[in-house]
Amino acid sequence: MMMENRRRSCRRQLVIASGALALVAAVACAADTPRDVVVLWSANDQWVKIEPQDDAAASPNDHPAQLASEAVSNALAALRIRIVDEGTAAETLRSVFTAEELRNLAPRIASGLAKAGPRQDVTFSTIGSHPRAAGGLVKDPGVNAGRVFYDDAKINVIFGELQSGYRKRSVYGQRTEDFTPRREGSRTKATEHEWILAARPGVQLHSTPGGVRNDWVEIDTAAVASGAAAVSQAPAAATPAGPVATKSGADIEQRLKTLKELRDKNLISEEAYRAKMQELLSEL
Amino acid sequence: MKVDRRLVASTSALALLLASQGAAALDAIEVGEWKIDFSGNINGFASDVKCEAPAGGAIVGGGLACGSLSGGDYNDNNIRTGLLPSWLGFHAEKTDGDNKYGVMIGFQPGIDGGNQNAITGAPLDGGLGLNSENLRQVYLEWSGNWGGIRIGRDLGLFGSDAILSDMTLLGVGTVSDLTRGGGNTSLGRIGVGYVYADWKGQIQYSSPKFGGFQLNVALVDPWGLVDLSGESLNADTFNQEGSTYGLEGKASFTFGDPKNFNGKIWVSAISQEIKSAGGFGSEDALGYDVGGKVGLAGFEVVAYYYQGEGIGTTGFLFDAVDQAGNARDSDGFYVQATFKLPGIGTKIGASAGQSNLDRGPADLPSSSLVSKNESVVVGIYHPLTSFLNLVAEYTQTKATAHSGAEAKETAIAIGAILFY
Repeated sequence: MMMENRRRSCRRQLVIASGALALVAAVACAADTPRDVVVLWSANDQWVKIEPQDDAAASPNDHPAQLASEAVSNALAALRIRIVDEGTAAETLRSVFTAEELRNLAPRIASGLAKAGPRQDVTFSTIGSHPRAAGGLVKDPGVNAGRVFYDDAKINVIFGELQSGYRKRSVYGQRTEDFTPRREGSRTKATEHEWILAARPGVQLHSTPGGVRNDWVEIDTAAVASGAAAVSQAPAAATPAGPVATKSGADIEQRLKTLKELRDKNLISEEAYRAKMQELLSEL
Repeated sequence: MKVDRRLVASTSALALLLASQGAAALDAIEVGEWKIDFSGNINGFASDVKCEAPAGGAIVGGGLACGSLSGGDYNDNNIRTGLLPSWLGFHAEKTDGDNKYGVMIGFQPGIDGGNQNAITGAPLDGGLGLNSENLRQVYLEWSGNWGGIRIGRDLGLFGSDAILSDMTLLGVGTVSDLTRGGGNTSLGRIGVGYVYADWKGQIQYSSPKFGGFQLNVALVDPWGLVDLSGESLNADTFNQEGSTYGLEGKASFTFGDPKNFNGKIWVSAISQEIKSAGGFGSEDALGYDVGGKVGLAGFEVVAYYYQGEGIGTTGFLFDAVDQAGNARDSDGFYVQATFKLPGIGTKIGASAGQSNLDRGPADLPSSSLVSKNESVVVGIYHPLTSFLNLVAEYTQTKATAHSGAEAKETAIAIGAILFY
C-alpha cells in the first residue's frame, strides 16, 4: 500500500510538472512568436520569411511586387563574388548561389515579394555547396542570408551572410542545426564579409554618402534577365518601369527552362546543369 | 501495479542540446552528395584525489565518495580524462528536397587505463596496459518539416539536459573509486544531482520546433538492474529478458537571445517495466525531472530536480530495488551559478547538489546502502582560444549510508580541453 501511494504521488507530481511546463510554454510561445513574421518556407536549416523592414526610417518598398519566379532566379543567378588567387593575383568570379539554392529561393522570394507590404522585406537563408577540390568533387558548404526588397524597379539584396562558413555545434555528441547568429543584413549598418561582391552588367553595388556598400546589391531585372518581363506592380503600389523583353533574352529564358526540365528529369548531372546554365547566363 | 505509459508518453520531450559550454564548432565539406564533418574534443587532467573512508571499516554501498567498493583511505594521482570523454564524431548527411538524412558514429577513447574496479576504464593500468575506448554513439536519422526520427544508440532523454547544463562537463567533478584508476571518464555531477542519461539503443521522434517549444519521445532498449551497493538485487534476478521497451520523453522550451536574456525550461520522464527471472514478479521504474536555466549579462543559473521510484541512483536501475525485489524511491537536485568575466571570457562557477536513495521495505535502518551522495564544486574555465580551454576544479564529495557511515572525497583537477 505504501508503494502504491508513492507511485500515485510520483505520477501526480509528474502531471503537475508537465502541466506547468505546458502552460508556461504556451504562454511563452504566444509571447515569443513574432506576429509580424510570416514563414514562407523552412527546411533543413534554411528558410524564406516575410519580416518588417529593419529600419523604421527607410523609404517604403515598392511592394507588393509581382515578379515572375524566373525573373528572380535570373537576378540572383547573376550575382558573383570575386575570388583572387593569392599566388597569381588572378581574379575569377564565382556564383553566389548554387542551382539548388536558386531552385529553393526564387519561387519563394517571388511569392514573398508579391505578398509583402511596403514596410516589409523578404528575408532568407540558404546553404550552398561550392567546389573546393578534386575537380569539384569536394565542396565546402556556405551560408547565404540576407533581405530582399523591390524598389525603383530593382531587386535589392542586402547580405548578412555571404558564403559564410557553415558551422554547427556539437555538445556531448548532440548536434544542433542552429547556425547562430545568422545575420539577415541591415540597411543602416554594412556587414563585413570575407568575399567581395562583383558589380556586373545589371548588377551594381549600393552607394551611400559613406561609400559603396559591399554587402548590398541592386539588380536591374530588365538588364539582367530581360526575358523576365512579368514585372507589374500591384494596383496599390506605384508602377515602376518594368523590364522589356528582348528576343535574345526570351530565347535564353526558353533554353534555361529546357535545361531545367532536363535536370528535373535527371537526364543531366548537377554539374552539367550548372555549367550550362552559367554559359547561357553569360550570353545575356 | 501497472504504470500508465500513456501518462508518461503524454509528458514526453526533448530539447535543443546546446549548452553554451563545451560546444565544438565544426565545418563541413561536401563529397559527392554527402556533407561530411568531424567533431569532438581531447581533454586531459592531472587529478589529485584524497579519500577519507568511513571509520571502523564501515562502507557506504553505492556511495560515490571513496570507499564504497574498495574501502580504506587512499590518495590517488592520475593523468586522466574528465567527465567529457575524448571524442571523435563522424557525421554525414544529405538532403533530398525538404528531407534530410544522416548518420552519426562516435568514438570515445580515454587517456588512462583503469583498475579492476573501474566500470569505465580498461582492466589494466600498468606496463603493457592500454587505454580504453567506448563506442557510445551510432545512429541513423531522417527529418523534415514533420520532425525527425533517429534510430540507433544515442544519449537518453531523461536527465539529458541535466548533464548538458553541468559545468563539470568541461572538467572532472567527482571521481570516486568507480573511476579512480582513470578510464574514459570521471563522474562530474552524475549521481550527485542527477541520474545519468546514458547512451541507449532507441527509436526517437523529435517534433518540429514551435516557437522554441519541442517534444521528443523515445522507445528505448530495456535494461537490467545493477547492484552497485551489494545491497540490491541485480541483473541475475531482474533483467531485461522478457522485459518490455522503456519509454522516455521530454518537453522543453527555449527562449530569449543567446547574447542577452535567455533561458530554457524542461521536463522529462522515464518508464520501464522490469521483469524478474528469479520469482520476484515485476516492478515498474518511473521517474521524472524538471529543470531550468537562465542567462543574462554573463551570469547563468541552473536549477534541477528529479524524483523516481525504481529508477535507482547514479545510473538508471542502479540499486533500484531492495533484496526482496521492492522498488526504492529516489530523488535529487543541483543548483549551479556561473559568471563569465567580461573581456577575458574566463568562466567561474560553483555548484552544489545531492542524490538521495530511500530504503526499500526490506532494507534495515542499519543498512550500509547509500542514503545520500552530495558534492560541492568550484571551477574556473578559461578560454585560451575559442577552441582551447584551461580548467581548474575543486570538488568535495560526501557519501552517507543509511547506517550513518560517511565517506569523503576531495578532488583537485587541473587540465585542458580542446574542441575541434
